[in-house]
Amino acid sequence: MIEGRGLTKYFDAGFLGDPSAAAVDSVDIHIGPGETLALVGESGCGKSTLGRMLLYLIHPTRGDVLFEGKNLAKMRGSELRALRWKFQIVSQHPDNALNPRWTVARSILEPFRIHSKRLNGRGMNGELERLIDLVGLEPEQAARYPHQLSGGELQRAVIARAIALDPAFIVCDEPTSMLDVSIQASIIRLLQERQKAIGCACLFITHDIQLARILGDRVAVMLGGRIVEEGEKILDHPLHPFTQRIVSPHGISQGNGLPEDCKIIPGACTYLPFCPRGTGRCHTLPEIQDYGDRRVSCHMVA
Amino acid sequence: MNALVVNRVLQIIPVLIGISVITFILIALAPGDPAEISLRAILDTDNPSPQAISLMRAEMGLDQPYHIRYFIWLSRVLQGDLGYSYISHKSTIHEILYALPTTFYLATLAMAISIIVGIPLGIAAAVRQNGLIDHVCRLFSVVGNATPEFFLAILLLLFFSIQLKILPVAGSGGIQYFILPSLVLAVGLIAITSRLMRTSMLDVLEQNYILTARSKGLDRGTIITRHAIKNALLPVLTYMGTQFGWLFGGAVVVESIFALPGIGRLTVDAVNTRDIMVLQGCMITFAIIFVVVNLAVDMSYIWLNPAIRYDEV
Repeated sequence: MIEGRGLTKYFDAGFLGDPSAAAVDSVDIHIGPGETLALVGESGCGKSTLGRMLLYLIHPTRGDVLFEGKNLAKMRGSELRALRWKFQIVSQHPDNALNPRWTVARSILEPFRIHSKRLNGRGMNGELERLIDLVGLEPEQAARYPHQLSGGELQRAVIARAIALDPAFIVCDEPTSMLDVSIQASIIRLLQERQKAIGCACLFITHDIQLARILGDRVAVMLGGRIVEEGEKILDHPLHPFTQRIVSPHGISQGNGLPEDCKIIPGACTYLPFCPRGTGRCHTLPEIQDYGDRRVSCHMVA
Repeated sequence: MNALVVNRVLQIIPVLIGISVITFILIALAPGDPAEISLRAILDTDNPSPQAISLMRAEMGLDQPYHIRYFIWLSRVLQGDLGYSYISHKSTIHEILYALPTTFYLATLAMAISIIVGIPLGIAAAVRQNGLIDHVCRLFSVVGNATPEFFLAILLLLFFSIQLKILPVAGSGGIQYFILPSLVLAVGLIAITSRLMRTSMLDVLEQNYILTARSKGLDRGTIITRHAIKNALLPVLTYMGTQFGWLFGGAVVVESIFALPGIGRLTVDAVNTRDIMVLQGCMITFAIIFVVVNLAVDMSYIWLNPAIRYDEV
């Protein structure tokens, strides 16, 4: 349903930056209707950039995004905007995801003002009531300004806005990482419940392995801008050394990730400096290959 | 919120007292005998007689100790009496009220020019970051900010008044006398305003709600007008407000060059002739304008920012 082919993004590195560093490098990704793909990886590995490229909020340097068979790169701006109600984003920071000068209700209803055909003759007020009831907010809370709500309440409002038009695809970019542990579970449940009701596809970006295991129909593991392993149940039976590392008790969710100051060897497998099984072959970048139930990018898996 | 307003108003009092003490001390410490310098201006002679000087000292109250002089002055000010000029023999309040409208007009015009030019310039620079307008705007800011007012004033005078002869050199009268002075004052302010607006705008454009707005399918123009500009304007307007007081200070230089009879020139003249009462009156006027403008800015900030406005409800 949504598919990325060879997605690559180089950011303008500035005067002194390294222009050869790709945030996302030749990533193939697809998500079927109603499916949840959990995307895990350390911070800075390109998860968010990949998610935003799939929504075409960041234009890829190379590669195409296909949504229901249509290439978003080939669309004109107005065509793409008319289609935008079908894909939505729930971001990591609910505190700046809503315009601070608008009431929450106004922000939630904004999608209907842009895509007024999607109202199908229903009234705005009725829609507002339906949405805030669905996400578990009180009508008084919708009449307030964002700074008057807590993080969890704001994230509910953001979700209300995201599901307003019954989208076909939602990117959830670490939607709970900024929230209190006590309310994370309720937000996750709300997202799951809404996703099932609408039947939309979901890219769930997280660095929490357990969350990925629970939520993902499939899981993709990202490292240094590339997907190194992707498939069902890969977290239970990891093949790539990096996946093995993150599911171990010393994995990334425990804050025991890769040393940040370690140099990436140019042209070599990104994981080589950390890999316990690295050999001479690993000085060339491994292609991602099919192994039946999964895709893995590693010379040592065969 | 009312308590907040009352609190801010009460804070003005110690500030004004502090400023009056400091200006009093500075004037007292200034080199030269004020009585002698005043007499030179009044009698138009280089060597006034010792008798005349001692009479003048008595009239100016200079024979009293400093602290007595301060309290005499303060008690008169509290009764609404700012004294009189030893040069023109007009009351200080009269002199100031006569000069104030000119400066107010000048500052307002400069402020208007810098808002009309600076804010759209900043927006354009942010929307096309690192584009042509951005680079031109950056260059203008550096040059505009680094050019001293007196230098720019002379350049503009040479070009518009001497070469083209389309604007008067100096003096007062209709709006044509205010164009060059307000332009000089505005250039420095435009330089800062446009940079500030650009930064504020770039900051807002990186917020998640802008990303969300794009994902909702809004076009770029609507995102900028509906979501970005209002949020980006807030810090800039606050800053502009405080700059209004600063413009009164800038007016001192500009009014002297263009011979505009405003409060800036009144101050400079009072310094040159050691016209103590007028000088202290001008200082306290500057202080009041500055403090009141800052108070107004604070209040408008409360009014403009929903995050503050509705907290106390």
